[in-house]
Amino acid sequence: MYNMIENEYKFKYLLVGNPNCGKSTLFNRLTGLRQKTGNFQGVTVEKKTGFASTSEGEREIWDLPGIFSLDGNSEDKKIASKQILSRHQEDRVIYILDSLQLERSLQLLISILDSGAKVQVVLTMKDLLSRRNISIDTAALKKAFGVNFYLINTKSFADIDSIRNNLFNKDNFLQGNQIWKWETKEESILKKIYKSIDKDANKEMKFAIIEAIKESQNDLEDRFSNLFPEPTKSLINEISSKGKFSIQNQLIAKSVAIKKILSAAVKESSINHSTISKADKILLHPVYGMISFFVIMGLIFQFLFSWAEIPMDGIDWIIASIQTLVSNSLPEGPLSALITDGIIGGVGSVLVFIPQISLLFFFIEIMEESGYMARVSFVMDRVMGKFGLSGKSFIPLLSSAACAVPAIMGARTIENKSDRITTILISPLIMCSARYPVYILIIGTIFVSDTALGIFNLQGFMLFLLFLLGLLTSLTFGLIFKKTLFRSSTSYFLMELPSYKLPSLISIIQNVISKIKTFLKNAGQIILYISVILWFLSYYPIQIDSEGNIDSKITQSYAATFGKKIEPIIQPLGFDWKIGISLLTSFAAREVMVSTLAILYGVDEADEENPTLREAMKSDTREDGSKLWTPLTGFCLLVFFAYASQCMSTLAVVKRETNSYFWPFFQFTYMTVLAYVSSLFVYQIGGILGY
Amino acid sequence: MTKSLEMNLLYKFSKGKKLSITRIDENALNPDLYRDCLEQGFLPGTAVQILANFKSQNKLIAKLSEQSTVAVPYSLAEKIYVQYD
Repeated sequence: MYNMIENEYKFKYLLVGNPNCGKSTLFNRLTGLRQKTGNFQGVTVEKKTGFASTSEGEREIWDLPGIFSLDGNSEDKKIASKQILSRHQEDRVIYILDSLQLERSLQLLISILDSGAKVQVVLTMKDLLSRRNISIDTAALKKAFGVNFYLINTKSFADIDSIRNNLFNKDNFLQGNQIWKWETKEESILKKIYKSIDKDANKEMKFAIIEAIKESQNDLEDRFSNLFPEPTKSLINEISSKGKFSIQNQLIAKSVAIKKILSAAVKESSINHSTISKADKILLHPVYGMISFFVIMGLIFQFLFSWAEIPMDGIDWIIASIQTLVSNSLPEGPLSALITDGIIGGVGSVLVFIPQISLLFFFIEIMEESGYMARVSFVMDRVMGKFGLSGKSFIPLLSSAACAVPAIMGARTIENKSDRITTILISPLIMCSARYPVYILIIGTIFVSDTALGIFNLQGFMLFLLFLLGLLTSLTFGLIFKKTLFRSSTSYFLMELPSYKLPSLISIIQNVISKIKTFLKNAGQIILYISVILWFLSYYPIQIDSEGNIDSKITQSYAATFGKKIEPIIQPLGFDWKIGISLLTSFAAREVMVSTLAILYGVDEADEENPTLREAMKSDTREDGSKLWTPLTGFCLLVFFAYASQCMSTLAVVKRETNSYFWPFFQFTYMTVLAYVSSLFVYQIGGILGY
Repeated sequence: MTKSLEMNLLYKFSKGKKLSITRIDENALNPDLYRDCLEQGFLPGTAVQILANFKSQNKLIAKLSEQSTVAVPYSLAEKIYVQYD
């Protein structure tokens, strides 16, 4: 970012560190709510930026994705590495280092120093260090690495304040010492290459050469094509085969250097680390771990539904009040209908889920920050492995029981791209809360008995069966996608189990706000457009009566015409044009189906428990006089609804998360085909069997 | 435990054993898994302690260099050679 008046580059701070090192907590503390979230250009990796007040004015801070090295293969790791390697010379790197993982964290610090970056280091977990009687001599580390080290607890405002001035003083950032060297033979090869480029090759260039040599068998062209002239590229390729520039050799050499430094800088009293923690004895146990998990998730879902109810009702009330206000202020007509039903109604149908989504994010953040999420993934890995996925896919799938939108966003934690896409594709098959109203209406209409198998509440039993249907189908399709679309990619579960930590409430709330803002900004736009289109289709064409009044009836709308046009297609499933229209309008939000059916059956109150609507549906007949809503028709509609991709918010989020139109299109197509074929099969076989 | 020349694969060891990595069979591993494994700190010479070995889960929990605790799948632990530390 250049200051156009002074023509001076306004440098930014890059926050860099391993995953789970406390980087995001520090970022939240330094920037407060002055954050924005977007994507790095052309990729789906989340870009978190914020602003902090410094003695030199406002400065931008980038919170880069957590990485272990500058050689990573996943999309987020590549992006983080690229940002570090292609930074402006004036940019500063704040390196965050978990004090309990010094040896591994210092490996990355050495790479960053080798790249010539100007660095300061923040050591986190000061509180845990003192609890474990470990002391770190930051002066000794400074002497060895040649850069400043600060030891803090990122949750402590006092600690952050104590380093803020030093941290944002640009002159405190230093390039650091060279900690290690290659063997003599390899060093001489490097000298030859440096000579071929420029006798004054700088530190950045030397670092790029090393990286290029290590990567020369893989993606030299991709990552460094602009850095070297052609003769040098050929030379690198030619002589890289003669030296041992492997990643393993490099890591071993650095590890030896680090161990030497740490032996002088870290003092640890003899504590027995040989046992697994008491919590892990239960939470990682194949049986107790599973039981604990289901108890915890059961409680979370209870909170999710009971706590979200009041704010959801509140939002519903606010939206209805605004609709009434606008409707009373504007003359009756298309404009009033567009604003109240199309815009406010459409966007409101999404806003109403914000409390539930926020709470789900809140609990997921707690599970992540406390270190429990890694344990859940561990416990569920065995089950998920049978379906070609790893344990990391389980939480997003489970979150789908509330809403597929946050579940799809939650799939970001899955590093393996094929697992992530598969999880995104199958998440909407899990029964979500928006399906409940429709299921309750249909089950209450077609199944008259109160009990199932003599003991169970029928409605609850059917809902449970539909939940199982969704879960089993999603896992089966997970396996199909992994065996077909992503055949070459195998899942593996190698995961660090971070220490248990008390989550920072402020940091969690900041993260939830940031995620909700992103959701509203990105998915909200698409939802708005589709809502307006659906409104248009269900409002027009309008009739003007003899007194000049506008009359718009959904039964005469384009949507109704379309419903009647598609009737031949849906007839083999047992559906008529009214069900066709409801399926069309429920694309805006699944529960809209209930209100559409209420309008079509001329019932004022749109409520899934409304007996009038159920009676109207029960007495509806086909043209031949036979009943429309038979148990078979109802069951087919349940099956269709269980599988169909009837949610524009989901598709909008899939587009955002995959940064592609292909995957939402693919998802819509496979789910629609699955819904159609399954319902057709059930209806036709049911008919043959005489139901 | 005294030093021993016995070499074996990581997954065979039970809870409490203190070992050190001697070799990782790079050729038998998926390149992504091999890279991840090195980045997590599985390097020749590194001390490993088995904290738990869940045979039914095909996984073990190991502490590396007295620092990070890592869940290791057998698919990887079968390719890591160790000896008593």
